[in-house]
Amino acid sequence: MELIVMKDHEESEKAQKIIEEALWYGVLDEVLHITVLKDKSELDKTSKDLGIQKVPALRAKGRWYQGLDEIQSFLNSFKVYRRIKESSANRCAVVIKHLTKTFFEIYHGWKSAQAVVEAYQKMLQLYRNFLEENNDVLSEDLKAEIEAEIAEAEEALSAAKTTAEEYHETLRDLERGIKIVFGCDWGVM
Amino acid sequence: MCDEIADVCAMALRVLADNFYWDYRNWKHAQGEKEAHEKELEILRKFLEKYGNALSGEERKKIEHRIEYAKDRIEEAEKAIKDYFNALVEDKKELERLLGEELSLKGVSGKG
Repeated sequence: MELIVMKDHEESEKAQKIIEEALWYGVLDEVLHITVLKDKSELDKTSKDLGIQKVPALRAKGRWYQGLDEIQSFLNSFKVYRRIKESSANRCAVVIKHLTKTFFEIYHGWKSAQAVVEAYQKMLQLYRNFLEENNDVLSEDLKAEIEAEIAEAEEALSAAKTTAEEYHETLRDLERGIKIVFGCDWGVM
Repeated sequence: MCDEIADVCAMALRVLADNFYWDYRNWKHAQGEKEAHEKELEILRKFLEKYGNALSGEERKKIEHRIEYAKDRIEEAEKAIKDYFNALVEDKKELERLLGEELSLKGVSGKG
C-alpha cells in the first residue's frame, strides 16, 4: 500500500491521519509506504511517473484513490471501519451532551454573577448620587439607613465579583477540556 | 428639598432602587441565559458537523433534539429579555419622577 502526500498540505495530513488510524484499528493490514513530496516540481514528476492527477493519493487493492474524498470513500467501503467510526462518534456524543450541559450551567452562572455585579453597581450609583445631593437635608436616621444600604451593596458587589471570576476560571478549564477531548478548538469563548 | 420631603424620598428610593436592582439583574440574567444557550447550540452544531456522518441514527437524533431544545430556550429567553427590559424602563421612569432628574444609566438604553 502506498501513500503519496505533499508537505504542509492539509488534505495530505488528514489522509495520512485517517489511513494510519485505519491501520491502527486493523481495518487495513498491509504495510504502508509513505512518500512525502516537497514541492510542485516533485509533484509534477511523480504525477507523470505514477499516472496520478492529485495528492493525496493512495495505492491499495491494485488501484489509485486520489484526493481525500476518494480515500475516505475507500475506507468507508469497509464495514468494520464504519462500525468503529460510529462507535467512536457515539461515545463522543455522550461526552458532548454532558459537556454542553455543564458548559451551559457554568456559562449561565458566570453571566448571572456578572448581572449581579452590574445591578449592584447601578444601585450603588443611585444611592450615592442621592446621598450626595441630599446629604445636608436628610435626617440622621435616613442618612444612616442609606449608608447602611451602600455598605451592604458594596459587600455584595465584592462577593459577586469573586463569584464571577471563579465561574470564568472554571469556564476556561472546561473549554480546555472540550479542546482536549475533541482535538479541536470550538472557539466558544 | 426640605428635610421631610428628603426623608420621604429616601424611603421611596430604597423601594425603587430595590425594584430596579431586581429587574436589572433579571434582565441581564435572561441575556446570560440566551447567550449560554447560543454557545451550547454552537458546540452541538459544530459537533454534528464534525461527527454527524459517523453517528448512529439514534445518537444523531438525540443531538438534533438537544439543538431544538436549545433553540426553544433561546426564543423563551428573548421574550424574557423584552419583558424585563419593559419593566426596567418603568422603573427608570419612576426613579426619574422621584429624583426629578434624568437617569443616565449606561446599559439601559437598548433592548440588549
